[in-house]
Amino acid sequence: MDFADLIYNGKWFSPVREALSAFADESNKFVTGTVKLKLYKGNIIPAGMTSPYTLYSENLATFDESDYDQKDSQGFINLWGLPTKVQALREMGKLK
Amino acid sequence: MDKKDIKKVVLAYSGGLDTSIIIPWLKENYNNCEVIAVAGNVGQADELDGLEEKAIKTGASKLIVADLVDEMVDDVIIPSLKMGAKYETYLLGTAFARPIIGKRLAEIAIEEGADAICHGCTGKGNDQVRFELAIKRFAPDMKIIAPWREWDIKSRDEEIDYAEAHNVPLKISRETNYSKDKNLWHLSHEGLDLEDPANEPDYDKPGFLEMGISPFKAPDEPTYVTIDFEAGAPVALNGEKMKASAIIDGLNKLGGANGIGIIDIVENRLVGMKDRGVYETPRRHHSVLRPRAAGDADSGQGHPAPEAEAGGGLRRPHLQRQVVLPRP
Repeated sequence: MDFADLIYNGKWFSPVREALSAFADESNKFVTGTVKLKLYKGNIIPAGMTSPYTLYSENLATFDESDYDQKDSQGFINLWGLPTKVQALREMGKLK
Repeated sequence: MDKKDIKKVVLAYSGGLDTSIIIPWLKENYNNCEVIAVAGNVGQADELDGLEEKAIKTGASKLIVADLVDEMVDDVIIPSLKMGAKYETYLLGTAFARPIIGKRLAEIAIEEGADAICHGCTGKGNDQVRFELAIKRFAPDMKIIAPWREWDIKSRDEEIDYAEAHNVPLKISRETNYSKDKNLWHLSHEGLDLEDPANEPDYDKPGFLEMGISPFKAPDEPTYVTIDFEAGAPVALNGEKMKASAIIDGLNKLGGANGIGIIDIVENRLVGMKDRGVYETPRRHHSVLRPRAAGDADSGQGHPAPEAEAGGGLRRPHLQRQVVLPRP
């Protein structure tokens, strides 16, 4: 179900559209802040943004020293890639 | 209701080619009925100038202008922005206005005691469906007259002939006689040379672009703009608080002046055929005015990250570059 299909196909006044709009109101509760854009010859170029509710953390994302422990990634990747590894082992006849 | 009993008809009236000739056609074919012309103001601005005089001169008993701009923006467009709604590569526009106009047509027809509602949508398009579904929702028993599904006129050229034979004043010429639909959100162009997708649109043709200029004519200096959002809805433009319709209007001007938002697409209509249209959407609204919303629902909290698509949707490389912001 695509919201745009409902609009395009004339189903604006319908229970399903109203239900989706209720979802949109709830899911947009924290979509608050300011976006800055640059308009140039048919292009829209992002030029910075701020939000009081953002989950972005410069401390986590930085290339400099931070509270993020890079060792944690190893176990994560082992689990995230487990199906990939199992499939490869199966194809090679090495799966135990 | 039988055709012979129809004495009063409410007509969705724009003053364009279709609805202009429908007034004399209704009177000729429906018992010389009273025709009440209803123009929904959805932000088409200058198209409303002189409309009352034109409607009455053409045979309507009166013109009712229904001011629907804020209702369209607040009740349809903003809720659609919150969902990031986009149909194929079409950023929607006409489809936003139709339900609101259809609802008001039904209300007026009931108030006026009309026997039928008439619209000028072609039998090939989406808008007949959108209008009639909205009317059915608010006046389920109302008779609907759709001349394009009834009359012998076969083309816009024949419509112009009919208009000339019935002294209906037209502001269009046969050369720039695109089928257009304008509201605060967009302006669509269809027909003429655009009917062959092989043809490059002549953006410099007089009478073609109305909401802005082509990127080739845009200034060499960029224009900065800031938009503030609260709970997914735009609330301020360049730091100044204003209602959403005023923000859209302001962005139309800034975007139009920088050649933003001209899209040239072939889309799949509900009624089966593909359709080629050029749309002017100078905000690139679903990008500029689109905080990430529904797709981020899993994260619970969102950053107002616009997907700034620069001229996306156009097949021509010079307008096709996409800039997509990384998810914050």
